[in-house]
Amino acid sequence: MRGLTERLRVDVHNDVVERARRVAAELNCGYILRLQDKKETLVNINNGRTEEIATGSLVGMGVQVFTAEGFSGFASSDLVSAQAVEDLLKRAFTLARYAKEAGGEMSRALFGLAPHQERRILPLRYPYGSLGLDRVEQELGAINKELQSLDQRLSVRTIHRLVDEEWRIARHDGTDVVFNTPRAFVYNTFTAKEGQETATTFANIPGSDLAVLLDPEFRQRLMKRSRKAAQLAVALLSAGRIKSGHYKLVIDYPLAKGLAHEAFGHAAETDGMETSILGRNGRMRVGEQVASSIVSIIDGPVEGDYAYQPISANGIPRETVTIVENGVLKAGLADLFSAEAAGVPVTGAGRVESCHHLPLARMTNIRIQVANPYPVEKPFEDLTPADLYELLRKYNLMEPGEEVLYLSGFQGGQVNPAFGNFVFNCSGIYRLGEKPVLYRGAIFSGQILSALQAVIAGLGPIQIDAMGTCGKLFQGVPSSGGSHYFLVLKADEEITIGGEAQ
Amino acid sequence: MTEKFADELAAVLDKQLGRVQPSGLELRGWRFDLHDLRLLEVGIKNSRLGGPYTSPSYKEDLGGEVFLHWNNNRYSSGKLDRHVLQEFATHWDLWQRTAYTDEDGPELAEPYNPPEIPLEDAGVYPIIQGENRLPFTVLAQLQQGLVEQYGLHKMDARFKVTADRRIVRNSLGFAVDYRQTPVQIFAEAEDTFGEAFAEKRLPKPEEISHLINYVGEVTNYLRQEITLPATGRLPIILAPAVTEAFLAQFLLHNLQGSLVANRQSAFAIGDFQEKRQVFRPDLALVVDGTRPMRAGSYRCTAEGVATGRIELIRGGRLQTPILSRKYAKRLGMVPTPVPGAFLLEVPMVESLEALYARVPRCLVVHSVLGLHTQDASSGIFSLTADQCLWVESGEIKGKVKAVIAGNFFAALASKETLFAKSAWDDNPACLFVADVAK
Repeated sequence: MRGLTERLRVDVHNDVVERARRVAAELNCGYILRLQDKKETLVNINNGRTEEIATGSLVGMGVQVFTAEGFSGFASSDLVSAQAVEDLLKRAFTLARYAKEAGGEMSRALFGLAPHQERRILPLRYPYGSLGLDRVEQELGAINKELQSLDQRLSVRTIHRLVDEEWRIARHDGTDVVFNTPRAFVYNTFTAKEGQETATTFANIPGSDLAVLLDPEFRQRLMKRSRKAAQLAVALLSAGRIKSGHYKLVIDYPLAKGLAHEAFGHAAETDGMETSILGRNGRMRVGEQVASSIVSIIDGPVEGDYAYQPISANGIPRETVTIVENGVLKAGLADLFSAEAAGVPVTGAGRVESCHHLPLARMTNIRIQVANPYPVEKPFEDLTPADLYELLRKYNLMEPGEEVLYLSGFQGGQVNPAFGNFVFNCSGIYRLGEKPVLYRGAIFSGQILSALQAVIAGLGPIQIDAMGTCGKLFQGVPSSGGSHYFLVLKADEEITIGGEAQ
Repeated sequence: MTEKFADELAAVLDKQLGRVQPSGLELRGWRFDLHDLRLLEVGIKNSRLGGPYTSPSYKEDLGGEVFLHWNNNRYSSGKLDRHVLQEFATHWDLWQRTAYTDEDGPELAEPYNPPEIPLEDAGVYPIIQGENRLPFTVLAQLQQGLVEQYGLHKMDARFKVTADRRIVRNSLGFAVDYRQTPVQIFAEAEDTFGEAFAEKRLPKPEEISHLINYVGEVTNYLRQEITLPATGRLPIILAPAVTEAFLAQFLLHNLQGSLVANRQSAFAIGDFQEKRQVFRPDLALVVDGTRPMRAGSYRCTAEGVATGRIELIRGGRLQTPILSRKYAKRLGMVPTPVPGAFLLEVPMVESLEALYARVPRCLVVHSVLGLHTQDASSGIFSLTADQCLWVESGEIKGKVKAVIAGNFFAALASKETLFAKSAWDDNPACLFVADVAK
């Protein structure tokens, strides 16, 4: 177990932090210095064979400089030394002057912050390097082999990624924060093939350390998810295509994460509020009803989560934010540079892919919470579409003979917050009934302002380990989230399941 | 600096060749691919240049990859960074601990001289040094053009120039050292429509004008919203950039050798051995990394496979997957260049407008949401086409949004599918029938 007092690799750079402070004082500028030290290992097992074991590291720093007037420049390097930070500061300062000459945008938000010192070091049970690579390879090989043996038509790729990442953020005002963002996953991809038909599905287990591989509970959950995904891939080989249209829907919690992330989270990020559908004249529409009154949406860091980040890339503690409470828009995901213009408080939402990038307002773990959810006894992984049908009937959420589609397995999504259009995709669709009928996955296409109005019920406890990578403005950062096991959405003209023409 | 680093790295690796390590491993060979990058980027967000989200940015980074060949078919793969030489003992230990067995492990390239391809524009260096403010000037020009010529006030854009010195070497004496200067410009208006310039040289004035005009014209059409007049089975036209994205998602993905060999592609290895007819007989898909100063051009791959021009599909028949040395060895085939650029070659009409004339009405798709979420192995797509134009009797009627679905493989197999040339794009526009819903 690592504790708050443990020294991290980024702690050795006191000379860099000190030099930055001195040089900035001479230049009369403000700055945010981001030091990053990342190690990672990737193991890729394909159909029982080790395809690759790759290691990587990133040690570097980036410094964003603000002149006293508020013009900014940025410089980054993989060289970390006192001299290097001096060079970067001077270069970034020069670029800020170019921005001034070109009539660039000013921001003095950085100069209104109070200094902050904090260490947030996540204790880990199985940290990076605590297990030999041969054992990791062996464990993954066993997982891969077991899953491959489920059906001759299956091929299975098992990928494990383990990241040990440390950050140190320092500012001209004396701020000096240190935190780690460890993460890990095991990810299985199943491709079923028969004749000319092919179908691909996925299953994964995310976390923050090697527990994803070693902890029996994680392992059991991964295997249950994987067996379901493998069976689904095989079943999809003979599945037909759904007719396009507007249906009453049930979505599982990974898809609900997609709904929260794509349909709402991005639109609530304040750096896009000037054009977001949740903004009006650049201000967030706080206080307006934007979802069904049973729906709340929360975003914030969760220890042990794949997308955990306790402090923003600007050195501000990350808050847990209730974006929507009982259907009413309450707050934004606000970073230092856009909160004021959006009319909401800063919540420490700035994140970066690496020290070579500039921060943007981003989500961490976003979840949908529904009032008075219906209880579900079994774990999510043990529930079948037939069980779901029984639950819906039991709770009178579905009439006999009613057409209800169950969308299963998140395949990614995308949004245009300015127009309010969003999509996400699923692996498979079941037409629910005593004998559910499977169809190929199809796009869920919706409008932000109507999608969450359509939520009528939640079933089961909250599960928030649906993982992904968010690619906003070409920067990839880990994302996660979830909801109750299932959400029920009424049919809505603004929500379309794409498919064959009716 | 870069050369010195490469020389020293080669020397320390050479020193280990043939030595039995305490781990029992013996280094039999090595290769590395090193990039020394310096880049400058300037951006506009919400019509404002160089604010906190788009501060003018400079980046320097020395990195790449190293691949080690040990005895007993053991291999190690690692990332290189500037600190590798200083901390060589740590990395050396790590690489041994992460060695894995691979019966299909690739051989190293014998020394040869890959084709010389012009890839460097000397005009890039003064920009990175801050002696030339071209990115600022071009961004201002784009903004002014969109405002004054098209009345478009909301713009997001970026201009990125990179100087990359690349060194590829191996323990057999293969050594390639060249410079390339990728330049990327992207402009988007009204959060609606964007277009990119990407080459290994600075843009010509007419290319900037094209960017302004193309973005301006299409965006203005897309601002005139109408209700989708029809649904059902309808002709759709994928604009050239959308066709290219479909080709990458559905076709190139399934041509990857690793997926073919592992039964994770729509195509089986037997399909290539039999040269199975999968698409229409007049269709070819070509990989070409030899075009001077083009974005997708290069001299050799990280493994030392020479760039070239090859046909992955000819006459609608599968010819070869995209093969690294490893998968070439495993499948008993020849390694191929990587598809930095790919070109669909098929009979085409002269222009997009000529396509309009072939159908009474159609949907022209300029943007889709969710392409990356599609199951590439099936060829089936189901997407939101959020920025489309409705065309009737050859005339653009206005912007519509639709949900489209179909099978892209079937479209490429059909003789009914039509294609149109584009003077500014590598790949054509593509017309076929799909399911369209509101």
